[in-house]
Amino acid sequence: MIEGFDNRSEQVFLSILDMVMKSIPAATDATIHLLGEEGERLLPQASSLYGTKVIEKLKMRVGKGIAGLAVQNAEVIYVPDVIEDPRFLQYESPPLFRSLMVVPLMVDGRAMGSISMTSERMNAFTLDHERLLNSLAKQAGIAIENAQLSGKAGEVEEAFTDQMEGIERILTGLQSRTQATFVLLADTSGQLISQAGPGGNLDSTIFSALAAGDVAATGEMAKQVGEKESFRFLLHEGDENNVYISYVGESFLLAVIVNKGVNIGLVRLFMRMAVRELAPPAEELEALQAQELIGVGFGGALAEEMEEAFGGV
Amino acid sequence: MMFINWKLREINLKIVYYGPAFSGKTTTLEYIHAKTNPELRGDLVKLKTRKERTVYFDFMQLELGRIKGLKPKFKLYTVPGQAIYGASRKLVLRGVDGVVYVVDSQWERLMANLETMRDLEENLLGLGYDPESFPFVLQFNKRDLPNIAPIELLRTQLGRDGVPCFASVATQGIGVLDTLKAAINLVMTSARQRATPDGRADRE
Repeated sequence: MIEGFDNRSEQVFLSILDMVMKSIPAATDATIHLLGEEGERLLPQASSLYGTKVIEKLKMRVGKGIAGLAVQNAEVIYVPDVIEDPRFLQYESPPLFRSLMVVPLMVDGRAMGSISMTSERMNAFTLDHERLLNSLAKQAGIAIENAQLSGKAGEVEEAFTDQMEGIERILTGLQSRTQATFVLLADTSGQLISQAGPGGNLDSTIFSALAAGDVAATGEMAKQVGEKESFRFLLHEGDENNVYISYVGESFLLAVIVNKGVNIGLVRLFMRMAVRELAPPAEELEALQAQELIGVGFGGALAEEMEEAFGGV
Repeated sequence: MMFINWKLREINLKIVYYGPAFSGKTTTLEYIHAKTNPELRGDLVKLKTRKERTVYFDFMQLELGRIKGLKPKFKLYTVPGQAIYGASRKLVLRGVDGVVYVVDSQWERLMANLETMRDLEENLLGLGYDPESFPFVLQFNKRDLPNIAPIELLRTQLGRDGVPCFASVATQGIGVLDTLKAAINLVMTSARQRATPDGRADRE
């Protein structure tokens, strides 16, 4: 199995093959291949005869053999008699089957693998079989991609949640030590990451956007006055509250809002400690963002949701 | 940069309304704010001068219902259009996922449109984005005024022939939400393309 696939994917493969065999009784076997990570090999995922047990000899190279050509050219190939077709790579003599039809699994215009069906008889398949297999392959491509993304998303979600809980603990600790009314971590584009404390009527989304704007603007000021780097720490003093903002690494910022009476030195000390602790999990969260996992069909559902949100306007 | 909060199952995206001074960016955001369900959006924050001119940015958040288990949240920003605020425009673009370029359709603003487009392209390049493939929608505003240039001509002059475009009258809300929907779709499509194992082949 390709790395990243889970039991859910296996179930999807078996359901697809079951549908193929039930819809096309002329087939004696059907197999699903998927492109390997490197994009050069087709790896068997499941067959109607052998289930999801890996069958080494069914591995193919893209561009070689019937399945390899079907995937390379993103086209259906029907071979009425494999003995007569020089493109067929014959490993057994006589071959285990005579007719072969391979349909590429397409997602977003890209071949991600193939479904092959075989028969012991020559000339076993018709144009109707081709249409039917093609239609099943279209649905199968989407189902497989979604199962694959869902499996990967589960792993990312778990890693993300671990890091986020670490960040929440650090923010809660900081809030308690500094008696802050509010503490938040955002990225430098203004995206709120996490927060702690009651905050009153404060809108943390808006506050994050403003804090990022604040840090960005003062960073430019630093340049203007000849500083080599941005100001790492900002302090805004008010009548009732003070706002402290500090960079966390290069991509995040930590903001702390405290009542005027709280000692500045103490707040700075605890913030400095929190910044050191926050940097690793914050960077890990950033790294997890590189794995963008949104399933097929999201766009259509999004359009419907927008109609609802803006409907009747 | 799209930020997915897997713990809360939220997708956060940043869309920036860009364009020359007085092209209608703030008016566009005000209309969106006024016409969307208050439960789905936050306050509209405007950082402006005493004379009601945007000095840094306007900001609002808009969210949609859950889609396949994920809740999309869109951060909508405007930039200040005046030439002197070039540095501010660049800062607001940090982490942007898509741009709506609000064109002032009047003939006499043609040069201002071209200059601001060049400014946008330079800023995107400076942030490491490719302006040619960046998710982009054109909103041709002020289509109710008498002295307007044809949309096709403006689009060609801006060098954006293949980009989705919409006619609008932001003061009346005409075309504003259609433009936003197109921008959201484009940003999400672009995010999905990045999600495929071979995003580059997908885009070709």
